[in-house]
Amino acid sequence: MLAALRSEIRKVLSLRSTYIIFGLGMLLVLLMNGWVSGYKHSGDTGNSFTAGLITSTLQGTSFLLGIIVLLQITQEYRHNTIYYTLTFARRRASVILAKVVCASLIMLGGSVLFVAVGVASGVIGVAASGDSLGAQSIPWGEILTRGGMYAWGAGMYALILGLLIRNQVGSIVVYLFGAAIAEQLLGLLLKLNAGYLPFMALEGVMMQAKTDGVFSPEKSMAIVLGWIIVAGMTAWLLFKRRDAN
Amino acid sequence: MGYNGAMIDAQNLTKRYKKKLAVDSLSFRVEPGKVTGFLGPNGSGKSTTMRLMLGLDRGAGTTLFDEKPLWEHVQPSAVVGILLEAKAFHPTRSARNHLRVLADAGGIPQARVEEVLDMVGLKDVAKKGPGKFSLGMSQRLGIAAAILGEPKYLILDEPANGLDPEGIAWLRQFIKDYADKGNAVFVSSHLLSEMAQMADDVVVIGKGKFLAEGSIKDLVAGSAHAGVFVRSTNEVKLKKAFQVSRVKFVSYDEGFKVSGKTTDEVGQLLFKAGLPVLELARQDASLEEAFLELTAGTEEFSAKGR
Repeated sequence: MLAALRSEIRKVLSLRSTYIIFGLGMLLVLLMNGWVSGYKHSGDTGNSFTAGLITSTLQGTSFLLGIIVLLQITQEYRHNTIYYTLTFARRRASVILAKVVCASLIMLGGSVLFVAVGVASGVIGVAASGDSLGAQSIPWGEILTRGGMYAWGAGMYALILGLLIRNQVGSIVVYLFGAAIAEQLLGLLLKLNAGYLPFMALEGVMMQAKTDGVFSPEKSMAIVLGWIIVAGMTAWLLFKRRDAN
Repeated sequence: MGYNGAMIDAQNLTKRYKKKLAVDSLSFRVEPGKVTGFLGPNGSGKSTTMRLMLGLDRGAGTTLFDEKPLWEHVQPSAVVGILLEAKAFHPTRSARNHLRVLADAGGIPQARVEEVLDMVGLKDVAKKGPGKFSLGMSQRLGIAAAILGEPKYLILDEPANGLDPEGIAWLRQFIKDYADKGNAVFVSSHLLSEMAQMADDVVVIGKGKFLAEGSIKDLVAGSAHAGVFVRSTNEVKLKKAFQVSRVKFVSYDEGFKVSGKTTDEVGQLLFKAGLPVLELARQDASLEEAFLELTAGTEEFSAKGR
């Protein structure tokens, strides 16, 4: 498993797209947090300012990191390197486990970096505008649990979609647009139960106020976890039983 | 080399795609110290068979590498090296990084990457993304990936595709040398003249079914195209002598080609018939003739009017 994990990490780090997407994420964070929320802030720099920066950074960057995970999975199918990956591994299970661990590292490690830069740039932006921040109240436990679940969940959704669909462009379209559009339409039918849909539930994890069709963060986390387990098991079974490519 | 358990032993490999039976109960052996060619018309199931052997395609049957399935070996990369697709790499990941990724996956020391890059002559372009490599350079990178773990067995699907004459000569020598070290190389190719120079044994399939297995020498000797060419002064008398002796013959190039007889036997027959011999020579079939004879009617795709 360790050999497969080392290989997965090197795969991600040796791809140009990883750095391009990460760079885009950094630009987005600097623009939104440093410029819009920091330098051009509308006066709301109360004690929840930093917590708000962390939340908005995670919401803005998790799906970008998810694309890195999607590419990590689908480039294997697009370029047939999956043949090597599976031949060199003794068990397909060890390959998928290595991919899950690698995807988790990308999501959690990347999120920590984005949040660090996002908070720093926001604080610097406020200072540059001539204002100063007062004492900040950061509910670390809640932020780590919900933020961690949101980022990890977005990564696992990407991994599962990549394994199920295999096609690079197709899975990115579904991940970024298809699922959201389909869930919006299904939401019209399900109404108050729309929060059971996977991407709606993921959004519910980070929602502050209660909205129609969105459950509490705790319930949303349980739903996301349920989807990851069910869809993940399906993806794993298909990965084991399908032809390599 | 005799059977001592050290070989690839494929048994009853079967693969069905919905209604089409792509590989049909295929069994064969690949022995160490030899190059075994895998021949069959386009669409006959060669690539599918190779993927089945490696467990990449799901189907029926077993393939044992030294009496064990591949996944039971502690380090599969030391057992089998593969080249299934010439362009099986990410186009922008450098050739060196491509091999480093594989080395990590196979538990192979990173120093080996530099060795194989040197062996295949890609050291100078190792920093470049292989997306812009020629087909020949891509094949060399594929060979480098295949030999990375110094495996006992190589499974190569059409490795000569896209190689220039120098590249083909290099590949031929490389494969022969690899087998001479006691390893086994199982290689498919549609370049029959190349296979004739490279392979010791062949396995021939058609429409996913087993057709023949054995040494190239035996295969061509058993071909109907093999025989004895004979020319004499009187064609009519010679024809009659053959008919009386119930010898199989066909008219061929101002003479006759006799099958199932040695040059000695044909010479004596002419002597008994009192016919002068102008020409008498053994004619071996080419691998191509033997192949076409074996696979007649099994082509998936063929041109009209052939």
